[in-house]
Amino acid sequence: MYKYLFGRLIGALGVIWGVATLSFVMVYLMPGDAARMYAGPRAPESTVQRIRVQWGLDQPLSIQYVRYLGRALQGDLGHSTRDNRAVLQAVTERLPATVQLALAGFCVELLFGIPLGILAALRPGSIIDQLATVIALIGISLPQFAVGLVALYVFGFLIPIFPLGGYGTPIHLVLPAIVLGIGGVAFYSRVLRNSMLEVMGEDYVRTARSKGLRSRTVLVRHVLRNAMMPVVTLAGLDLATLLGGVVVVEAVFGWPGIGLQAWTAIRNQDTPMIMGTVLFASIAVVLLNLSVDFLYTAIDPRIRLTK
Amino acid sequence: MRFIRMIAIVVVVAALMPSLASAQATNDKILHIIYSQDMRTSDPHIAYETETWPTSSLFYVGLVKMKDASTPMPALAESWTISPDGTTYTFKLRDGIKFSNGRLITTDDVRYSFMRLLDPKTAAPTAFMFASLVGADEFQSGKATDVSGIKIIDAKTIEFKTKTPVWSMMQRFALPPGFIVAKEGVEAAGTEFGRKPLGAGPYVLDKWTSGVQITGSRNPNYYEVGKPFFDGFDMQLSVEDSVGALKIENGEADIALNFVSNGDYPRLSADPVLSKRLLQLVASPNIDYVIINNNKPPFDKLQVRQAMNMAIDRDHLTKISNGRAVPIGGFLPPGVPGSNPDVKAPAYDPDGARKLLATAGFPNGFSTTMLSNVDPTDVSLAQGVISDLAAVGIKVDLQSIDEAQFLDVLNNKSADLNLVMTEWYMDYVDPSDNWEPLLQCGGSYNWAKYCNNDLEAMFQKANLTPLGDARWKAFSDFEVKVSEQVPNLFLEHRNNYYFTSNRLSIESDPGILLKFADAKLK
Repeated sequence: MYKYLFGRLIGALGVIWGVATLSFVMVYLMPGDAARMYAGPRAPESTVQRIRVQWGLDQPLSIQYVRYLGRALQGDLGHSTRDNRAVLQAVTERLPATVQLALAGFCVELLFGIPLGILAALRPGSIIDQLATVIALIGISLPQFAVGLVALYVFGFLIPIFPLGGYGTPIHLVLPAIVLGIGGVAFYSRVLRNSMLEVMGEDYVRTARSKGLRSRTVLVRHVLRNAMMPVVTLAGLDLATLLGGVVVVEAVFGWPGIGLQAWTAIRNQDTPMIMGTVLFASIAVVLLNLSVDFLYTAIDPRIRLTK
Repeated sequence: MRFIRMIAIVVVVAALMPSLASAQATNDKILHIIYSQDMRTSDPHIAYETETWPTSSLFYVGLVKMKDASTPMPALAESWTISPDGTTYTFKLRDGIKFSNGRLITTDDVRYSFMRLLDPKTAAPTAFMFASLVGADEFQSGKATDVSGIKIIDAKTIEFKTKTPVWSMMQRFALPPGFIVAKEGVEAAGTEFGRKPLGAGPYVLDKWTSGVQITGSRNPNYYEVGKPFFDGFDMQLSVEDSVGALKIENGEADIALNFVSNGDYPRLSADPVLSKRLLQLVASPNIDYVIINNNKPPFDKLQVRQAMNMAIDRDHLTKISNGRAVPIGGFLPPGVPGSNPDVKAPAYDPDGARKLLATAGFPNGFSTTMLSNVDPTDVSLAQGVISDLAAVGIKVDLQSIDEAQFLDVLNNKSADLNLVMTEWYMDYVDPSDNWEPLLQCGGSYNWAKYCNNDLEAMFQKANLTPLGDARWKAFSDFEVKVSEQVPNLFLEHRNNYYFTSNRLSIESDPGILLKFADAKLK
């Protein structure tokens, strides 16, 4: 078990290193002059060159890369070229908001997606199943920025139940979480429905029913548990994506998360900040995937035995 | 039925329920400001955006401020003299002025602030505004450790000497690059100084939460007794434009640092009540224009440039800005001192343009390219211009790229440029600020490297004329000569507006955009 864990951790570090390296190369190869962006078009070339030297941008790519890795291993992700703040500090400041929105949106997805998927699976072909499909399609089709703006206008302005965007209290979280979760509801409901239908056709489920077990017991202990695997996989990837920042929802609701920070960094060619947010997102993906793997073993004992 | 009744009850209760949102801003004495992004900095020596300049004015102030575009007023300085030749500015500080931490301000602090601005280590994007000081070049290039043109006479008197007369100097002193900062604040905060301001402005920082909020309280040591009117301010960040307009409409906010968007302007300007709350910007007059590379054929021919000028339907273009723009024919926006009201855009005449192109040797037109950034207004304007040019046979291929690449191409590949759709906002309201960067030989924004020695000589003569009617007349005549040469396609001047709450009384400042120190309730 520990050997497995160690092996996976080493693999995870390798993935993080790979992502950091690839994104470093891509970002530095992007056309544009970050020093000129910072200094402004009216600054003399001598000032711009001084900034390049200060930031190490005058060095060959390989030297910049080695320095970056060395500093990153010591927890120094450099300074933003937009406002000169420490990247690590700037990213970690945004973490609470990002985690809150990601988890809230994730909960909305599960809260509505799971029951909808179960209902649809229990009554395949019925009106409920078709309604679930329609709701799912609408959820996927509606662009988040439009839903968000309409939601703010209706529930923040016309009928002011919620704040007009912003951050700080639980009530600020409600609308953005719902808007964020709506699209994901579709995926969870459809994946779970199809997975459940497959499992419900299995012999052991038929056996459980014929043994006289109550429907609820069959559903929870036999069907759902086995049908959850694809949902768990989806959930891991989904949460990782959410933790990487959701620019549209953050922008519409003024939610100070990492997505908005990354977008501002890209627009200003703020390379250290871009690298910082990419690194954070990749760490989130890797750790969540690791967690999902371990969750598999908890759900399905067969996986534990083969390991 | 039970379900429907339940839903009905929820809706009615929700409608009657007082908002769970933050309290309405109608009666408190806090100035509620909103902005659409995170605030980059409040450091007046680093700030160079339409949102960071007024933000820095919350915490800082300079030696003077502007009453209008050409009239300076005392601020930290109680008086000043300008030598007859326009090269020496001597300021006398007020008695007893203090930073917000209670320390007395002396001429040492003034000297420190300007040295910091000019210090290459600061990399101030606006250092160019005071690069004309004697010794600034030597200091910036490392050949001197001091700026010899800044001289302390005594604890209250300081002198600034320029190499040549710079008649827009007083305006520059009123801008954030001329704001006075506290040395101890700079040294204590280090790289965080942009978020830990320490100045002598109307407010003191309480808290700065990145991407969320900036709050401040009245500075008890502010030099103007009885000001600021508000007990403090609360700036909400990352508020989307349309949402911000709603917040101001329902009284949650007093003013947005973003200008009213193109999308919101028609609705607000058409409303008889809301239109009265639109505050027109008097600072940073803008022009939207197309840079022409006069060094490249066929644009080196005056007739070709004239034909292009005639081919553009500017009245149609101004519709893209939803009525906020007016057509222009010269390089100066209307209303700027020195702007010539008789210099108008040529009448829209595509037939005339075709004839002129034929005379120039292009009876079938020609093909070329236009560069633009991805700003939606710039792209829309570019497409409008391209459509007009296509009608006279000039086929233009538009290349839109993001801001960073746009600047990179302009700086490093200017020889390849043909046409560039762009805009310019004046830093200070003096006609020199629309010539020196844009069209002067070697100008910092003169991407196409335009250089006309005759016009340059005429500009220098006008620019050396002291402030007053003679100077404006000289520039007025100059504008006529420039427009005859059609160095660029000057399209329109776009008016920008702030949207304010019903209760707020505030004026636009000709330099720092907003007079926050003077803002009050109606």
